[in-house]
Amino acid sequence: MAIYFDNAATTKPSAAAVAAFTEALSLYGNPSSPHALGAEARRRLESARATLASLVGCKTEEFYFTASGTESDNSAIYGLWELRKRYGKRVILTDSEHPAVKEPCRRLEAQGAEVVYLPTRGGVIDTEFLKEAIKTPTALVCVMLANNETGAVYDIKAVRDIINAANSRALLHCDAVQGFMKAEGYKQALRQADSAAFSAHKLHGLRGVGGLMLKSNLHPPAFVVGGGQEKGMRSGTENLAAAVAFAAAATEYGKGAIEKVKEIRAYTEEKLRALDNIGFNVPPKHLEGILNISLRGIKSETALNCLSAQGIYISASSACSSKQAENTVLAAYGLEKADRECALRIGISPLNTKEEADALVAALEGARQRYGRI
Amino acid sequence: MNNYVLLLKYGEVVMKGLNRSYFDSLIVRRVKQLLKFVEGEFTLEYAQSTLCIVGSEGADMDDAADKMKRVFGIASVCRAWRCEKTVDAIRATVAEHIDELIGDAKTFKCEGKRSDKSFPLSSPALSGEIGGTILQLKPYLKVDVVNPDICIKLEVRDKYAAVHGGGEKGAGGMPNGSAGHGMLLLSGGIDSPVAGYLMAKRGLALDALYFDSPPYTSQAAEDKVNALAEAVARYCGKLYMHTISLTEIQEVLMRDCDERLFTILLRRFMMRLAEKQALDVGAAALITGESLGQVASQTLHALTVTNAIPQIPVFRPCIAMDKDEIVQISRKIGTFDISILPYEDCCTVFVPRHPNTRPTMEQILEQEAKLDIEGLVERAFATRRHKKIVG
Repeated sequence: MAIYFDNAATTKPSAAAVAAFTEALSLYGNPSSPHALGAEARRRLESARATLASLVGCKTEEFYFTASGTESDNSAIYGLWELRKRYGKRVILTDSEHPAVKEPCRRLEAQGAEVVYLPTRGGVIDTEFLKEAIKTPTALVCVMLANNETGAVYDIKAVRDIINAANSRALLHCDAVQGFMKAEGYKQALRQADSAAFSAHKLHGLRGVGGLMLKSNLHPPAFVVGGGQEKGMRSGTENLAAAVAFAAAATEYGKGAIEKVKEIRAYTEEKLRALDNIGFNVPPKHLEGILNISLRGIKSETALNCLSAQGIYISASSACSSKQAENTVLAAYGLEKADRECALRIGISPLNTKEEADALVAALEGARQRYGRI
Repeated sequence: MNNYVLLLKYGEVVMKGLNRSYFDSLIVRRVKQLLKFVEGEFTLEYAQSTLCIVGSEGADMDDAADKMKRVFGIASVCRAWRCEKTVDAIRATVAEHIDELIGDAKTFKCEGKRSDKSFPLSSPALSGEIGGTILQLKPYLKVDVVNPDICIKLEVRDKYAAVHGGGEKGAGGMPNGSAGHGMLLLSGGIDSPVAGYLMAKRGLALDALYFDSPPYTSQAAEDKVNALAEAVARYCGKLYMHTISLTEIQEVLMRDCDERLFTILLRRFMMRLAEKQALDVGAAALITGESLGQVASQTLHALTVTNAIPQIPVFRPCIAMDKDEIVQISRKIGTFDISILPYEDCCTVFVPRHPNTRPTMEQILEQEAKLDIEGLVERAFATRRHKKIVG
């Protein structure tokens, strides 16, 4: 039986999501069709949108379905840049953003953007740096709600306050793929953002569907054009079944998942703290579901392979060999090279149990005993 | 009649004497192997050091041409139109396909080549005749005999005439398997697939040997090496991929031996296992991607020590190449993008901080005296796995 502790990568679809998906498959009408079957599909799509918008804390018309969190990030960044590029050429993003944000920002350099990386040492935004950086006219600020490697929850409200205090017209995009439904006070944080990106499969929904929140006063050019679905923001026939499953999964997650995750996290952490020679890469404000450790003495990839052979799945979040790209997130966090080389990410979901946590900790220590030695 | 054909011009094999037919048969076998994967039916006609591939109606000649460019022993691949051996027929063929032949060229020349000396026009006369026709059809064109945008070739052969716009470079080299059978030491890096390709080009049939080291190396690393073997097999045809685990050997070396000599000692074990595996499958040479001085285990001193193990020859076709030259070939054969995927291979697991770049045989033998070499080799050899890779 597999023991799955890689829930920051993706999650097992929940029973609620699968049931909603299966049921919605029978609604095969195109939501754009005017006939009864199409109208029913449209009604269900809008109901899923309303559910998700209420969970995000935005207006229903501010929530758009996309095909992934990455697509949402791309759409928002390219779109918001178009709205503000005449105001300022600067784009500020944290040095620990996901590639779905980093890469589009980097691409904007070809259009004259000046990309500035905001330090997040120790998992905390360097507000002094931001106060200085924002003095130059800035088109866009991108700060993720929660980091995918360390679980650090960034203070979006503080970022908004700094933008406002500088009287900047910069727009604020928030990648909420990891943090949605999981970060404490996420609704208040998202209220500060002009746009935000979401993904279903991090919440026990299905892959292939994401969400984009866009403030209703903003009308950026669309990224995917065609039949004009999603009010022209994202053309393409809607993935109704996956959208309905997204809403079901998120609703289900809201029913006590956090408490369950918190309990397993506390238990796992306690067990791990009993081990010698282990580092906890835990920021002051963090997601309960992401526990990043440095298991000193065994390279991440060796530990991962060893656990994988026993049917226990975690993530090695570090650079192991000279050929591998450096893990910039852990470097930005301020972790020394030796600790980065043995860093492991444990992604916890409400489906995990204490028995699984026991097996995980035993397997980690077993791997280190047998194969450890850096 | 479908007169659009591929002409495969033979390369170095035409220099062969009495055993020529053996080389020819290997080329034909490889051509047939590859054509099996192309849509359509094909017939082969061989004459005058040229293999003519005739496709059935609707056959995918572009795909066929692309695949033929991977056949070793072929110097060039021409997409040609065949016709009867008369001036009128050649003229009519040129006229019919003038747009495809000329493309967006602004200048051209015609180059007649008459191997049938009984043809009424000499080669220059034929060039002039057809060149005049082309100028009538496309009056905006200019003749440039020194540096034309396109050179229209008019070949008058024994059985037919052919018209084409020049050949594309073939894979060159010698036919698959004509030089025997070699065992390629394939890692996940850039150099070893290139070494395999280069030796296959000289006619070696290949088997590949990969050393893994679970759990220090992952399944993803093995999948990557499989993908590399598949890319090499696109050129050399099918090959067998053998995998041997070095975990125990690496752990013992790390525990019992001088860390600075770790890599060299390991390379010597790899050579022992590779030779054993080569002899087991009837391969008579080893192939490595070593390049002189590239890393600590590839200095002259280090190579001397590792080379002392095998009795069979070790081919190192990259030995005199710079990294960028190797990279250039790896891009050409499509292995570069696979090679740079970031997975551990067994060479990078236990890398000594300060490797000895000038090991001596005495030092090595002193270290090896502490080891049960035979037992380690036997146990590692027992971990062998095999997989057939079809290219």
